[in-house]
Amino acid sequence: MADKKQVTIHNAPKATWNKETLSEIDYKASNGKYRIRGCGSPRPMPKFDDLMILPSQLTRMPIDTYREDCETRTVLGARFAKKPLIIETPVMIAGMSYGALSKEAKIALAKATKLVGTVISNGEGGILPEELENSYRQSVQILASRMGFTRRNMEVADMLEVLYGIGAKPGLSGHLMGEKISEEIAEVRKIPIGIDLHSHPRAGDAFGADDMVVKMQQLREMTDWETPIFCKIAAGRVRDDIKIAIKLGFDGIILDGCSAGTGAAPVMATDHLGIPTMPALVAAVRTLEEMGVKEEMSLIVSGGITNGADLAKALAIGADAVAIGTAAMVAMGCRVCMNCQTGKCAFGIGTQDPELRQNLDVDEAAERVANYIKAITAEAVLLAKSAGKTKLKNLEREDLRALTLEACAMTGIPLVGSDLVIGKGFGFSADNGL
Amino acid sequence: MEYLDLAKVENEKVNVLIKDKLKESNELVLKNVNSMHNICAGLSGDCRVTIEDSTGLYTGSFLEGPTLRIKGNVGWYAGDDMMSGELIVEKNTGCNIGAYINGGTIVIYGNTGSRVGYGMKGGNIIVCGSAGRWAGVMAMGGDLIILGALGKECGESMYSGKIFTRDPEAESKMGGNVFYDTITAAETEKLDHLFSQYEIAADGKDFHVIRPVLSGRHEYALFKPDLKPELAKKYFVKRG
Amino acid sequence: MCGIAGIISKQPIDISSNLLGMLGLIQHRGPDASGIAIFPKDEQVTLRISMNKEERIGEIRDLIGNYGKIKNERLISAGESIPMAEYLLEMDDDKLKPLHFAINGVEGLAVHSLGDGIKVYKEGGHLENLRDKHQIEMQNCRHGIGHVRMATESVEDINAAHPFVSPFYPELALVHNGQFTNYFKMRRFLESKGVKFKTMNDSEAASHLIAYAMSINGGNLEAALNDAADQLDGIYCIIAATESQIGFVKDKLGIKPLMLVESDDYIMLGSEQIEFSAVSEDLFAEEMEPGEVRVWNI
Repeated sequence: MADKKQVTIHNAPKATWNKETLSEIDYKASNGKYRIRGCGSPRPMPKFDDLMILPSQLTRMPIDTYREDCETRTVLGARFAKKPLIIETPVMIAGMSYGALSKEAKIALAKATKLVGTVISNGEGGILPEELENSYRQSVQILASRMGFTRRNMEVADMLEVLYGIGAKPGLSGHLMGEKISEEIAEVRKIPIGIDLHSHPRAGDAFGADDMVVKMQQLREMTDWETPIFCKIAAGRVRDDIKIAIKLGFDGIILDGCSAGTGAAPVMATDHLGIPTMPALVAAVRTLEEMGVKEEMSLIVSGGITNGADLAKALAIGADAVAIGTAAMVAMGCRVCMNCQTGKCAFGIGTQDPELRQNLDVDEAAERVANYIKAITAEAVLLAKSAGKTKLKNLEREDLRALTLEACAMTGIPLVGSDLVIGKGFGFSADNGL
Repeated sequence: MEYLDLAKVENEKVNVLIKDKLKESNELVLKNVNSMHNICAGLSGDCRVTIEDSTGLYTGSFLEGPTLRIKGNVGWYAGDDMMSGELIVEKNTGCNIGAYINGGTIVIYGNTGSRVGYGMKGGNIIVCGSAGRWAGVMAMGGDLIILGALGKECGESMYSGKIFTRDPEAESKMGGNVFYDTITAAETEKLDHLFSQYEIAADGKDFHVIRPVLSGRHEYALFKPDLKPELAKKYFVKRG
Repeated sequence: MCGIAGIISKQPIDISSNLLGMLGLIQHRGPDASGIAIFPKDEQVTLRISMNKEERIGEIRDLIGNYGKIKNERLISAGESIPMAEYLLEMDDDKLKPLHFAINGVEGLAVHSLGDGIKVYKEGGHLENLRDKHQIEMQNCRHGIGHVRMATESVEDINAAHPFVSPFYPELALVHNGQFTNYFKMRRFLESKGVKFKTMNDSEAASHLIAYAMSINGGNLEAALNDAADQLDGIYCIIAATESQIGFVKDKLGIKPLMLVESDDYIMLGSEQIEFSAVSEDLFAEEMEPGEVRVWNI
């Protein structure tokens, strides 16, 4: 046997064959499978930062930042639902499951909603009773797996979300590792302990939109036409998907961009599936207008919302609300180390380990999330008032300008300091009458 | 005493004519002003100008020294940025009167509109009739005396200065960051002196004072939720 | 940015000359355009229409022919702006709205007013242009509104002058001082209800919004103005009138002026005290409260 020789390699910067690529190849060579990672994609994506908001100066008057009011109350799901959802801020807490998150984290998030007056989505896998007890308003997801979902869930829902996919790993069958299924979780989801779960990719009670039309009628009857029913989709074929959602009779759409997070997903899925939030949102708004339902259908967008400027710009483009997932976790203490899939979250957020869970102080976390939501709502209000608005929902796309050519082309919003619109203008701009 | 008939004079030429006439005498009467703007804006020196009818906007802006008396009504922004002197209005005024006034005295015998004394920094403004909303808003000094009814949000965000009122409902009409206080002896004396100087039938001791809160000023909330947790669906679910 | 005027007379009088007098005293507030709307009740319907080219006149005659009969046609040549025509028509009341919509739907044509009890005269530049170009005959009626314009965000062209009308409720005319900050959203909503916009002037949106509200609430101007106060964002004063009602709305921040004065013979609304001296003696005009809506029945 030849002696193993020591080889020294100089690490020169390389574009393709860099450290990450080599590490990924090593993992696949060792394990024969693909890597799974928590928290969504780390890849740089086009963001709302590439848009600027126009302030009022001479032609319009700004609203007094302090002494004059700006309404933040938001109504969702009024298309067909007799009891649309009314929340005090257009920021809701996205669906993150009890299982991906610890019980303490879920309770903290629910408590936060009571402090600011918004809605939390249960995520996959049943409703944790303590979450339902503590939330201001509860949204319930109807997923393909239906783990823990029963008729009782529909009764307590202030809003329902029929889930087709999430931005981080759209179109994949879910995977919950046996190690993460504790007794409690098994109880809530009504599944056996210790077995890896590979969940359904498609809902078994409606294969295709043609069946779904009929199912929808049934859901309406079950809910007495009172509860808003949303369709949650990952941003992919936005225009086509939304057209069908409209025909199916949903009250609204939750659109999850590719930069959204998740508890655990294959790296290839988070990095290469779907399209970013901002252009997806523009495509969604264009489609809703093309179909003449923009005023009726509610549009919630999520995936990488970090601050009040993101919120304001999303509203200006045409969203009615945003959902925050990762940002809410960061407010509780998460540092986005992207190791959620190990179940060893040191902050007690993405873990079921009883010891690690002690690291999360529920009431403190709830207050931090509430503070964060208050702060970003105030930030959006600040920007809206500068643009002359007394209601957040009065922000419009003509208040925006694109900073880069890419953002200009992606959105149809004019380039800063010019009338340049690439492609079809979004809203009134130089190419259509302004 | 000189006279000036402004019936056929263009607005832009008025102040030049006024200053010329004042070289001949320091008492001047203006006729047929007919609500023109900027009348006596920037006028300085020791003189007395009387206007027989009504004026438009910015009457006596930046006034420094003269006594200006208007027998009719006065438009918006009169006496703004005034340095010293007197601006006396026998009838009523528009809004934003005495904005940013530094010194001198404005007396309005009739009513005034909203935002009187906007950002006022010194001097006295006396309103014999009622004042509209946001009187004394963001004041930084000076004395605002209102004999008649106050409008809402009086004294909103005052930093310094005083608002004197005898409106029995004043406390419910105050804006943010101010408090309702009793009047001191010195302040009562000052008021009585002003009232007698301008022949106003009123008694200083009937007044209270609205003053700015100097610590613990309320934090302006940009987000004001109206929470109704009891309306959640989970409480309405019929059991069984 | 603009100056507005409104007048209600207890007796029918030559309202237009009063309005022009009032506007003349606030010309400084707006040199870019001026206009008035008066409401004399006639037997015949008057249509005042602008066109982008004189050659369109044949097309207009054809279009009108589908809804009524032309009794008289008077062309007003372009001068510095665009050509216009004034028609006297014989037609049924229920054809007014369809005709208004029909003209509204055509590119390059704009209705200035259509009805048997409404006439709008508007023109670019100073008031002399308005007086010279349009022969505003003496017509007795009891109320009217007027406007002088300082263009803020859209161009100065005759169609962008106030007062504005809308096919949703042909008898409504309005004037506006201020700037809306959610114009584009309002425009998209109103366009989805079937109206075509002729200008980029935000005031046009207000006319369609209030007219639309009146078309679905049975002609209640007060309710429509309250709706507008809620839906329109920005700073503004609006005076709106139909044959039988006239009213105003002032925004909640109360920044743009709107004054009201009542004398024995008149009730007058306007931006500045000085306007009222055109019509009556020196009376004190009261400033209206922020957020106030008031309507009078004629």
